[in-house]
Amino acid sequence: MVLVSVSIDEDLNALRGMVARRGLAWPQICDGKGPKTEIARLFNAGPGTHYVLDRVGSIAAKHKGSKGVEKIGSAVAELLAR
Amino acid sequence: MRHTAACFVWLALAAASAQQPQKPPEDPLLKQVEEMAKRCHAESNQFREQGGKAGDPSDPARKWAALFWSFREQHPGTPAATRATRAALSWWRHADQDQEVMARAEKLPPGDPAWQLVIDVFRDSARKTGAWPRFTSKVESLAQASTDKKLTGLVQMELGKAYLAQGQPEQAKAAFQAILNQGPGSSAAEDAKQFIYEIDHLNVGQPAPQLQAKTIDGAAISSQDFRGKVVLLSFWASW
Repeated sequence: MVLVSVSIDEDLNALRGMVARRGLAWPQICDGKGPKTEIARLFNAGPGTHYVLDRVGSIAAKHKGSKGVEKIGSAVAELLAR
Repeated sequence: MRHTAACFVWLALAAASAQQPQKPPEDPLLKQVEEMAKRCHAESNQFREQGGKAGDPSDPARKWAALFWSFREQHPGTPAATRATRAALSWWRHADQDQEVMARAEKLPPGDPAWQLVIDVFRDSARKTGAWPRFTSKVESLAQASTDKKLTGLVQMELGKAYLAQGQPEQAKAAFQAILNQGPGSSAAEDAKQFIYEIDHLNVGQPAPQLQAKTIDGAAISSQDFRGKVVLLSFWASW
């Protein structure tokens, strides 16, 4: 499985600092465009949005906001078990 | 982002001071509402610091919410009443009195200027209590009655999001389309366009958009790298 984060930041250096401090070891995408971040627009996403893609690249689950975000975890688990 | 926010604050202050000469003398009613707000904040903070929880009948926020609402009723049609309306609903919301908030929606006439300030409070209560259908029908009637372009845009945006939350994408699309029909270029129109795109293209089962980007370490990353793998794409911000 691949975990990829997209950050809606404008300040790349602040983000790099945070990533280093927290030791986030997976790929972090950020183009520094804030709310106009290209991938965020491509997925109509903001902070707190999650997408799960299956092995052929289709959307398997989508969730916005913190409430009910557990369903994202179970969608991943289910796909991995297949 | 914080920098941008600071810029906006600065701009707002600059704009406000530029307008100062034409400003009418201070509104004593508004001052009264501000004074009430200060006392309400202080009491509410004290209540929470002493371990008080939202939902407790002795939460001072409840008392103040009712006081703000009666202020509204005593001074109909004034800017202070609009401010007091917002305060009343926010404090009921703060005290977990969502039923109270929803009930007040019925007491606000469609033309009330307070609608622009309080629609998000109603939305939060509707989300929390699951009263989406009630919220939606209220907002539908607002949309039909509104003659103010700004309010219409705001209302349609709320309507679109509420329909999405209820799993009714076609109705949501109609609301977003109504915003686009008001003309392109505004930030509301941009958001509406994005939502329509999401409704059409970002559903479970549809192919995900092709991704091509760089990581903050400068490495290229694209959908090709994910072939045959399950991907969790997580959007966040460090601020």
